[in-house]
Amino acid sequence: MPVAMNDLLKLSRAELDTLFAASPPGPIPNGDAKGLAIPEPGSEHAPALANLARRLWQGKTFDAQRKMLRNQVGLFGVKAIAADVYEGPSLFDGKPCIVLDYAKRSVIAEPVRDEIRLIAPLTYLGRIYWNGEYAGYFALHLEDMAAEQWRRRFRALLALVIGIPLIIAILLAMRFLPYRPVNYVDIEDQFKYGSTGGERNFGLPYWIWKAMPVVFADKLPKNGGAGWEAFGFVYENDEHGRKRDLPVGMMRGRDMGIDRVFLNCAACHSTTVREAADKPPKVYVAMPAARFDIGAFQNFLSEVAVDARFRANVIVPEIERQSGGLGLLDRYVVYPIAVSIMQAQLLTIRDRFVGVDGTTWGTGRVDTWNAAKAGVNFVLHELPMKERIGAADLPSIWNQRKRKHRSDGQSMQLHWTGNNDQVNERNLSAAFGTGATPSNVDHAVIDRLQEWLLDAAPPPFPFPIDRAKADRGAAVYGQYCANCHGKSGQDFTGQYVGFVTPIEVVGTDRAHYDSYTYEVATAQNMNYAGTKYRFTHFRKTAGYANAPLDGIWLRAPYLHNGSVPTLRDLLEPPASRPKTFYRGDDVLDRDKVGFRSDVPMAYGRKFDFFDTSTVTRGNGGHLWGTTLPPADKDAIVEYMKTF
Amino acid sequence: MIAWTAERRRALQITGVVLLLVLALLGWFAWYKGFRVVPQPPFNTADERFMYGSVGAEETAGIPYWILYVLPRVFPDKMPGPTGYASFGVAWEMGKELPIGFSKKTIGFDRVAQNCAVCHVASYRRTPNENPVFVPSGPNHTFNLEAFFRFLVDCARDERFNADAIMHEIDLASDLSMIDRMLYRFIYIPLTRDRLLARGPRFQWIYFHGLPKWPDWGRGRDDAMNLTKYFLTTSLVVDDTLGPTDMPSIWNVGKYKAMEELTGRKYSTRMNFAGDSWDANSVIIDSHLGLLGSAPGSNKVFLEEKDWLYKYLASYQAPKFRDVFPNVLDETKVEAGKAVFAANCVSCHWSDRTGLPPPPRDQIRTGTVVPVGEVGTDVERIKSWNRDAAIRANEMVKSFGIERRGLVEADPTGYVAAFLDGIWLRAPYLHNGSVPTLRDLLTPAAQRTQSFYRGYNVYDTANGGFVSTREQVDRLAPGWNMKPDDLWQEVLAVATPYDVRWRSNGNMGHEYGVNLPQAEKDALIEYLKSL
Repeated sequence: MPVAMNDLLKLSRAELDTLFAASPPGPIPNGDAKGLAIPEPGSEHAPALANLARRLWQGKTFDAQRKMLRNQVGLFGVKAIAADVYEGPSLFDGKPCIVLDYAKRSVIAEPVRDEIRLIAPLTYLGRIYWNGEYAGYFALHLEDMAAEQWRRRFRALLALVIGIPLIIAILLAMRFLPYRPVNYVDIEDQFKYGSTGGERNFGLPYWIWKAMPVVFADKLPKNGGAGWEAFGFVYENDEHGRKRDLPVGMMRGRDMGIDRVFLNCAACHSTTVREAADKPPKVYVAMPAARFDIGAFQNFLSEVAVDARFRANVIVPEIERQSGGLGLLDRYVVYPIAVSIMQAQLLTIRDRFVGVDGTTWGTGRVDTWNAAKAGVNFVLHELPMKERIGAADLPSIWNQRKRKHRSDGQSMQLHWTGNNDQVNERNLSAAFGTGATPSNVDHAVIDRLQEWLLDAAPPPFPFPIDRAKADRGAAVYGQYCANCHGKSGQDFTGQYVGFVTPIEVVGTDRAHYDSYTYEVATAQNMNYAGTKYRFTHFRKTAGYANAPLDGIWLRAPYLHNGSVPTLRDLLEPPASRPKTFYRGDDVLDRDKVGFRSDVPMAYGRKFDFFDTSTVTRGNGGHLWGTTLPPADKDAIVEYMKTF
Repeated sequence: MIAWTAERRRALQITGVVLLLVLALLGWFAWYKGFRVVPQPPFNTADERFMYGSVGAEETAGIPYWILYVLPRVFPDKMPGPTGYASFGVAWEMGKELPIGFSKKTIGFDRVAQNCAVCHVASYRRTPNENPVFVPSGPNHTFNLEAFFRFLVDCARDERFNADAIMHEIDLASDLSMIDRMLYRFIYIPLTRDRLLARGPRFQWIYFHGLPKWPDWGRGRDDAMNLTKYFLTTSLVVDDTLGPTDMPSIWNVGKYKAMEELTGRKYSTRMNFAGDSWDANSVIIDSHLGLLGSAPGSNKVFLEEKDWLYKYLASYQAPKFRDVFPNVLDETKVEAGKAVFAANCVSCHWSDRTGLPPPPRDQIRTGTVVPVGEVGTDVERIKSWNRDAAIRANEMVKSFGIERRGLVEADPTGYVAAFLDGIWLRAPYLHNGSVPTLRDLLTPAAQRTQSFYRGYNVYDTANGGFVSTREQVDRLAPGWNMKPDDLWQEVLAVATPYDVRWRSNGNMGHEYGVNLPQAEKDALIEYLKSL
């Protein structure tokens, strides 16, 4: 006869039946009895099941006088679920046993009936019946359980104190910690919509981005554009022909428990082009974002940050309206906090840009180096005025590999002023604009984009080219232009290509040149300090760089400041170039090469008025070719269509 | 009673070993993150070593790299200008992580300290449109040392010098590991603050100001002997002396010994503007100790570095005006000027660089002290040093176990008659930099420029000196295709004002050659530029 209760776990049902049959009923027990459940006797799970059951059921407490018992339930051994206790015949063999009858006392356990018999001193074996059917065995051992109960209660309490916060912490961590950037397999999609990592820094919470143009509709540029399109953001259609949720140049990533969005490279280096006024706009990548008014966008963010409506109780209801309802956590915790964090961030950026007015930049233009100065924390508003105004055109970024070579074997000097000749520094420097900092930049993505841009090439001119005329133009171009701008749109060789022409010689508007100082160049070399990416190649140069002209037909308006609307106009002396024109139309001018620039409004959009007599917008200088006969000029333009 | 069973003993042994291992690991960690010395990467040239090499100050006076990095971002309001460290007028080469004179070394963590070049690198531009050229061992006439000293202490005194504000900026600019971020937050930042605050009591005198009695040093000057007084002696008693002088050139320091050999008069030449120190080695040691701010960790390393510096500086030759500005000198005038020099200046300023035969040995005064009563220049600098301070400073250095001939244990009496090698690049002139150009120096004191701006580095070849007055701007701007107003704005944006009526700024004295005929003056200026 087994003495230790745990040995009962090794017995099969038949063996337990035999033991039960052979045992006397014993007296009606009194006091605590430690329980052992044997739901599936003899099976290999028996010990595990018994262990599990112990968490739910500790044992029983008998009251022999009142002929009843209560079970000790749960980890704390709460006394509940009562039963009557009496001696009676067993359903098993009709012989006497102690019956534990729940029928009259318990609602929950009403169908249960247990029968116990004494199998050893103080030890009972019990048979469980459910509606009179056998349902398992259990054992009881009479002993004082007070000490064990307290120990158990303490352990359970401890487990709760540690366990519940731990579970909450794990749940919160799973909710708020993971960073999941949205990336794309297709490299063009990655360029247009993929994450650079920067959304972790500047990222606007997705729903706030959605709500802002509605809440602050009065602060959008009044040019006819709807919502974000007022800034020149362009939306593509998805594969089902529906307008995409985010515009080209907007990346997305889940960070801190919310989706966040921000500008990526494509915001400034992609836009739409129409082959004719009645043709649909088509997105071209890596060309200058000639329609994007980043200064107005920056100004908008800066203005809303100090607007009284930038509050959770204004913005969150709009989010609820658009999203169709937020979860409780999002509604009352996450988004209200996101609103205030975002406001603090926008105020920080606003603070660093005080003294630089983005609204003066105009469509398709940006003040690159004042943004860089803000990045190295120059106090912009204390700088001399001439260093604070330096807006220039957004550039194209094709064919970076070919820009790594020039006639002296060095890399070409990049940027309008030629202030850096390293493609990778150029790209990391530009990535600051997407919010990418040394601590969050995704080098793998940047490398991938960089690799693609090495050989990404502009598309061919979409209209017929007069070959004979172009050939004539090639000869003139070779004589007047090729030394500085390369032999063609594909062949960048030329003695001075990628070198800097002194400002006095090129004679173009010097505001952008003057805004970039020696002090900025040195300070920029502290960027990415402590990493192998630290900048080492920023220089103050003597003028503007001679750029290769790949895809030049997509790079209008011309000169570094976009002050000349078409190529044909650029070949006129400054006095004959258009004094005013409109920027932001995307219809190609197939004859003079550039975009249509004489129409103030189309497709419900008002265009940006460009006055060459205003600061940073001068259209003087670059006199090469301006004295040629008109036929030669036409021929040069025809040739440049092949670029 | 504990029964020492074998098991108990074993358990104790294991506990002991584990404890030791944990301690060893902690010790290793503390060493690795706090004291591990990583040598600087090798330098390609001696110039580079001079400009960026460690002189050992990182350990005692170094600032954790990332704190230094973000200070201008946290405290833009405490900078002299809007352009970060550049606004202190530091010499900064393009492409370099740190300005010249800032050395970076890993001692547990990256630290930045200063070396000699922070004050001893000259910069010049030939036109406003070009980038500066830097000349190691030349005087850093653009560096505002006092502003830099104040900045560090002011930052530490500000409540924003806390881990939250500083880490916020560090996180934006860096990619530090969690451990390093914790170390910065809980150790480096509070410790740095304490250390900078501890400098405060020795720097109280640089906080005196109030014109005209107590002017700022301004760009290109330092109150050298007061620095010595408050950092190389234990005295914290602040006197009321003020003696800012020009940052000196320290090229060609072998010339002093050579001169003594030539004249046969041992210890006749003196160092420092008022002849406070006996020899170049002593000056290098004292300045070097000033950079460390305390006794060297190892005298052997310290003296080896000093020997290298002496060797490097002994033969370093000043750049020639002729090489920098080809075809600008009028060689006929230079020749004529040489004769004027021979007649008027040679006994006090002869050197082999003058191209003249040496005067009789007993008449050569170059490098020796000329009594202030004779030269007549501003006396305040002399008052800023005394015998007692010299004795105490000498004792202090001796207590470090460093032997040197040291400071002259006497009250100073005059100013050293200077060697004129590279004098064209050493403007402004006189010990206190009170005279902006060579031409101005050859003008009677009463007619010299009364106020001007120091620390702009475009050179005026006509007058010999940097552009520092409106007169120069009006004369020179057209030649550089600039509007005079624009150029003047550029000057004002960086330079600091200087007025000869402010204390210790007097431009009196040294009235030699001021009454020469104009043609002879012009010739003399031409010749001086050629030196």
